Amino acid sequence: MQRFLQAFRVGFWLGWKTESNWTNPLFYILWSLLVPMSNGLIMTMMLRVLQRTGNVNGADLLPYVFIGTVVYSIVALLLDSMAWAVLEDRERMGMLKYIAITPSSMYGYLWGRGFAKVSVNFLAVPLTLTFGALVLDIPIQLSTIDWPLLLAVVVLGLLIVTFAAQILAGVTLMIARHAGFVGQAVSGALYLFTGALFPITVLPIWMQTIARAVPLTYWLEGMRRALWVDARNPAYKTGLEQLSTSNLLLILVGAAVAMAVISIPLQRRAEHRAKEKGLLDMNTAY
Amino acid sequence: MQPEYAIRTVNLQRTYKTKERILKALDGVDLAVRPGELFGFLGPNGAGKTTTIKILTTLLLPTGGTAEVWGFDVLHEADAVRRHINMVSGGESSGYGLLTVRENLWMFTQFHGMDSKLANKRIDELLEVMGLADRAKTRVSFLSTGLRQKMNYIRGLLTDPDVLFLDEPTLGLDVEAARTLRTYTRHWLDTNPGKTVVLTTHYMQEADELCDRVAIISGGTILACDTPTSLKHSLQEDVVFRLFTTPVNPAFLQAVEQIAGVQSISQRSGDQRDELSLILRDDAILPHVLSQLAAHNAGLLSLEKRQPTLEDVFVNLVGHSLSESEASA
Ligand SMILES: Nc1ncnc2c1ncn2[C@@H]1O[C@H](COP(=O)(O)OP(=O)(O)OP(=O)(O)O)[C@@H](O)[C@H]1O
Ligand SMILES: [Mg+2]
Repeated sequence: MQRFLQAFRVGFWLGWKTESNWTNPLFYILWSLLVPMSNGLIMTMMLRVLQRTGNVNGADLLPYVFIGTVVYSIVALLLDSMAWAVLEDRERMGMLKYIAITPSSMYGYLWGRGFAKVSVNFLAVPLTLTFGALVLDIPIQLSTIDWPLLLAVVVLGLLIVTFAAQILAGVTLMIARHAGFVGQAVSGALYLFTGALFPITVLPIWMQTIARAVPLTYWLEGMRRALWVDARNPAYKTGLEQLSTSNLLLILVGAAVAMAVISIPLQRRAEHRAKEKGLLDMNTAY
Repeated sequence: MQPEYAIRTVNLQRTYKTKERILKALDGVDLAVRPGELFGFLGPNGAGKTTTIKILTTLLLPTGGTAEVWGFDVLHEADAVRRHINMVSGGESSGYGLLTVRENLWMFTQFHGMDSKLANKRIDELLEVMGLADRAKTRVSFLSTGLRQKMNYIRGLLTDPDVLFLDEPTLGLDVEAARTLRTYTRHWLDTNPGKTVVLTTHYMQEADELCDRVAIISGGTILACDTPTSLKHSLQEDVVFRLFTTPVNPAFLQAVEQIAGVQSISQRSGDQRDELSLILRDDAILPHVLSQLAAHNAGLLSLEKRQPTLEDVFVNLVGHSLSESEASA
């Protein structure tokens, strides 16, 4: 545990140093707004256009999409942050082997890198949500936010995504090719399957089955319920409206435990496999 | 507390499976290095030097045999091994470009849980030694390859390892920097009794001057292992000649190798002339070589009898000189 924390601290320090390498804090704030804002805006504008042409009654889809895309942006960042750190350290910096020969914990280090990325970009989420509330009339009000629920969902979500990120890092560690696509492919696919963009009921039945098996679907539902009062109303059809909030939390707890149970041995296995094949100092020279 | 051996391997094996073939990179390597030794690996490209170091530094699993570092098994006690080692490989430029030299170095002391104050003190000392003191605050991305390599060498020493692995540490360094590095490595060993260094190199002179013992490795097996002096003594019965000739053809070399009493001949081609190293069982063989020279229409420019060098030992064992294997690689 001490080794884990030690390595976490170093990883976090390095991640923070490299991620927040801004000479001017103003740039940093602008940058943190850019990605979630543009995601949110594009979706909102699309809906507005659709609404005007009268194809879809997008009125209550607007907050759904806005919240979904904005909070998903941080998930996507965290999800491939560790795999990315593996690739960067191994191939661009040539440093992974020097970390691997230290008596510290490789995944403590990777967690540190991941959390640094989240921390650097975290501010963007409340900022963008505030922007949405003030400018786009997204119905989020401080007084109607379910704070305890929000806290629980955020913490559980972070855990789930961190373990998932660790699984991706493990896979990257075992792959002898330049595997930058792994994290992106997964976060792209999840974008579709988790109801970030649209309620999962829009999907064909078999895809809905997949969506219901992905913990992030429940996480996004939880985030919406915490932030937005209407999402707590079972009349608001998201495909998960039948699920009580306490059951939803139970599912998230279960998912976090399951991800931990999968990811920890997988990481060990990945390190072993990388040593077996001599991949820790590999360079695919991209 | 010192173990009996800093490094001990028994019948160490490593095979690489690629799509085309199975390659035996290490084929039964036995090593016993005592604490306090500066132990050198000398061998042509692909001999298995880096593979050995990777196994000993817990980066690569052996496919057979056993290896212990500072008394701990590299397979089952990797964490314990890691507390006692560090490694530097040369000829690559590595480091986090966005960080300064000091930050890069400091970061690695933290992986070992070193006290920050002590770490910074050591960083200052070593930056001074390697002539990098004025670059402490420079971003690594602004450093030349050679300077990065010096930084990397400092990283290796910072944690005060019991066993330090140096894989071609002077590759690509200028003469001055290479000398600094060698001198300091020796100094570090002399002032810290019990510390052990394992060094691989392509430079004969480096191995000869620096190492207490040298293992000559080729094709994944150790052909000889002794002090440089003893290795050279092993050739004392033989005589070594250096000849400069007009360019010779391969047929000549083949013909000479056929002569009884010729231990080895190696050729280094220069501008309009060849340098030949001959190891003969005794002086009486020389006329036979010279008559072959005439028979192959080559002329003798100069001839010198000299003391055997480590290079001669290498040629005698491996069958060709290091520069020849370099040229064909
Ligand atoms: N990951 C790998 N996969 C397949 N073959 C490998 C791998 N790594 C090394 N080899 C092969 O193993 C053999 C030994 O390589 P090694 O790197 O140990 O040689 P070396 O003595 O360090 O050579 P050099 O002087 O060129 O650094 C070589 O034939 C090399 O091609
Ligand atoms: Mg090598």
